[in-house]
Amino acid sequence: MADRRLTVDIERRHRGGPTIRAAFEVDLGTGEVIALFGPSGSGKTTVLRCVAGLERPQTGMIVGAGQTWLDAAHGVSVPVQERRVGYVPQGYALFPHLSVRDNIAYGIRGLDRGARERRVAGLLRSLGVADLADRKPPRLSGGERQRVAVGRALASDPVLLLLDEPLSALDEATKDEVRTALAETIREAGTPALLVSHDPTDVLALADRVAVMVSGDIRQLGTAEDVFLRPRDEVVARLVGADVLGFGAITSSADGLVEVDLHAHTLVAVGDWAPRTRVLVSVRPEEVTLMEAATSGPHLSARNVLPATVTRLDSRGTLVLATLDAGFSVRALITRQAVAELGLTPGAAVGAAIKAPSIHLVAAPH
Amino acid sequence: MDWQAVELTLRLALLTTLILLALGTPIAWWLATTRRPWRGLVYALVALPLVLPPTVLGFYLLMAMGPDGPIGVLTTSLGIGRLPFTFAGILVASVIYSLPFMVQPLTVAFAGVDRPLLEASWTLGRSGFGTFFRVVVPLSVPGFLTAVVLTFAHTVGEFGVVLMIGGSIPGVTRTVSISIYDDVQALDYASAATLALPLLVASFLVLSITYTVARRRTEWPIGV
Repeated sequence: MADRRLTVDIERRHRGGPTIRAAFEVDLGTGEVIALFGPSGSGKTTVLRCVAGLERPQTGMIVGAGQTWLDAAHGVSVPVQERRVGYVPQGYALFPHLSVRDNIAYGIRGLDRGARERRVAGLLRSLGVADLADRKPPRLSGGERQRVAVGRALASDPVLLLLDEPLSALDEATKDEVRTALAETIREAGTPALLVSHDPTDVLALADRVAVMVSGDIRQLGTAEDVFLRPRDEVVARLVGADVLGFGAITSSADGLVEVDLHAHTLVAVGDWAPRTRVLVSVRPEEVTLMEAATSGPHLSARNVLPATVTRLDSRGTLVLATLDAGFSVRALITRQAVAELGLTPGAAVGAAIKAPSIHLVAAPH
Repeated sequence: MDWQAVELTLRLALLTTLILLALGTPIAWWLATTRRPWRGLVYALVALPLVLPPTVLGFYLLMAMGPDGPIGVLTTSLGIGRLPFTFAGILVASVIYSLPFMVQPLTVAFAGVDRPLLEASWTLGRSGFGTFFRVVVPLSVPGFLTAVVLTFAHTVGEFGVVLMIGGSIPGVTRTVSISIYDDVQALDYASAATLALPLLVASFLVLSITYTVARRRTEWPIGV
């Protein structure tokens, strides 16, 4: 038990396909959550499956909590059954013939009947699915299925949770709620987790650290803040969206609007977060309107007008992507005519107007 | 009614079904999960009795079980004696002849069990066997039901192979269908009818019940 880390350094080659390489460590002692983030086909799921033991890399090592799970050079590969990982596959793979209760109890080993029943009852309660205990998975909603799948994985007291796109099977309407609940469940369980996702919002809400995977390689590995605010290169920047303004704190909340303190600016956004909540603030470049710096009237409906300086202008087909410095980086996607009429050049002073509903807030971990 | 033939036929069908359940399940699992290139070859071999005239199959089996055939040599050296014109002989023939009726519905059922379910079970600590009995079998119940009923019914109704291998020895190899054939040959239509009608009615009833119960996942067994 001395070594409380998961060390992964693997290479998995597919015949006639891409080669997937990944090297990283997860601290199993602190319940750290790492996200493998990247576009589909980048090899995230392969890495997850290699850690689970469902796929076998041709080269490399995987060491989990002091036990060698894989040592390709010496032909060592611990069977998936003995790795004690809690695997939640994409689509959840709940056993359709078993009730919610029996699904959760499926992986519990080495407990007598009473302890086993208490454990299942506890999980049913903490996941908020106690009243569904006798239902079968085909009669559950997407969010309920996800909770049961996470419960089933946690029930066997795993050393590590593996979550493959845990939110992708859900419709947009329920995603936010389920995401928040999942983040809470993972924190409460204190189980370290390796998470695969292509959605920046999921990554920011759930992960402590992010490994950005692009075509089979980890491009950048760092804290969520590092990766999203300081992408290492253009590829990572494009992946994370690069429309992140920064981390802010809610200062007040009333009538469905909140004020966010962000780098000495106060922004108005839509939401009902409690004051002092740490949030990640982002806005899409196409939602940012530029105006002459001196404009005071006519009255604008936009709640946020930031004085800024143009730092660069990049052509984006028929449009122009303007990068501005407002104490933090903001980007605006505007027409060529607008650039000409406002006389925009690098160094020019402008006002950047953003409507409150265009400001996107995500609760940040911790 | 030739009760001896009825008893013999039911015994043959029951034993054939039990043996094929044990034999066909692993074959079907292999066919449903393998990615080997010779899968098609094995599938064809299993399906062969569907298209082969029973006389052709019976002829080759008779040759194989004869004094110079591989099965004959084997059974003789084991002290069992030769199989033609014995109950054991028609049992072996029935098992081979009804193989596709067990294997095909099971293969379809097993292939319908999503692989992520198996993987989830493995990560939760269950072995391959444990997963098979806790996940695959419960989800394949309609397939098992179809396979068992079809195998049983097909064995009850077989004629050509049994005749080739077993002839018509009362109490040993004379099944219902052969008894009916003998009656017709002897122009005893009334006696033939006392066996033929119950067979027709029983077969229809059993199949109706099966397809009603297993309707969620019934696959036409001949479909590949």
